[in-house]
Amino acid sequence: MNSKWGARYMRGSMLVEMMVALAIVVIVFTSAYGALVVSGRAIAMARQKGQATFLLEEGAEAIRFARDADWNTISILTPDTTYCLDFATPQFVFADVPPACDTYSGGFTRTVVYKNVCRQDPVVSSTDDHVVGTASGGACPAGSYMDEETKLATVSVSWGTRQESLEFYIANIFGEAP
Amino acid sequence: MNWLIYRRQKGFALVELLVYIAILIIVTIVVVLGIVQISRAFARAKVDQKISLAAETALSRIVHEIRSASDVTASGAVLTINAPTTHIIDVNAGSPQVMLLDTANLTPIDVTVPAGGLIFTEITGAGESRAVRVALTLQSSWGDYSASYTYYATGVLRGSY
Repeated sequence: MNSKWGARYMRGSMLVEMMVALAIVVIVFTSAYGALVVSGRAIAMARQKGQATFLLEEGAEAIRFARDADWNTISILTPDTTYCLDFATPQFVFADVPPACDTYSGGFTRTVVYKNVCRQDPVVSSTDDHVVGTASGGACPAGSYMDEETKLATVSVSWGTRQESLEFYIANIFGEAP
Repeated sequence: MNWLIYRRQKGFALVELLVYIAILIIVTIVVVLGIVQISRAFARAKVDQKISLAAETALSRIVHEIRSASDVTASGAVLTINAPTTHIIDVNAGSPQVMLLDTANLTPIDVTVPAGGLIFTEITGAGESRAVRVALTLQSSWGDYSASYTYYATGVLRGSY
């Protein structure tokens, strides 16, 4: 670059070099910022999912608690209906329906739905009574019967446009009369 | 070519200098704003991460303690597990951390519990059913960014059955 031509060439290229440097700086900063915004959003979402998971687990624990205390608190509820799982001293209550549900700090709301469970009619032996599905419209499909001692519970926690659910069977293991 | 370069060099000093200064100012503004935004996003991510980790650790331990218990006394920010062994979970008076037996920190030193941030409520059902509900608010900061989030958990006293 120490030739006459090189010296002349460099004079004319300063602005272009500057523009290239500027473009590089802008690209580096916008991409670094973009990456951080995306990762920040992902971390915020992970934190919200963590909060929602605790609310879901609390919902499951509350349903087990209600079952342990008195199976009738669960069995008297209308199946396929959305209930709020609210906390009122000294008990959990399933009385309200949306949109009367409590909102938890962070904008979370929690609902519970119970479904009636259908078991296969004992055909081969009396133990052949596995769950074949849930009752729709209050009736079980042919070849199955409704088990009054088991419900399928779904706890849902929603916030913003997101929702997480937890589905599990709850059975009257303490044998109180339904 | 020679005459072209000479003609350009005549006007270099002022006009190009102004252009360079303008570009430098724009670059500086972009860089400074970028650094501010990046550090803010970083602080937010860091705080979320610290609180999530602290809450999950503390609540897992608290719920585990509650589930192992057969008798408890829940009163505001103090949970006394009476049986089978005596455990006390509360907020340290000095630095606001969740403490087990006043000796073990359940939350790290850089995550604090604001006033009224730990609430234990006892739930009683028919028969033997008892449970304890925990509402835990944790606060953390990074630089001048600060945030607090609330977590809820419940444990049934399995030991009471």
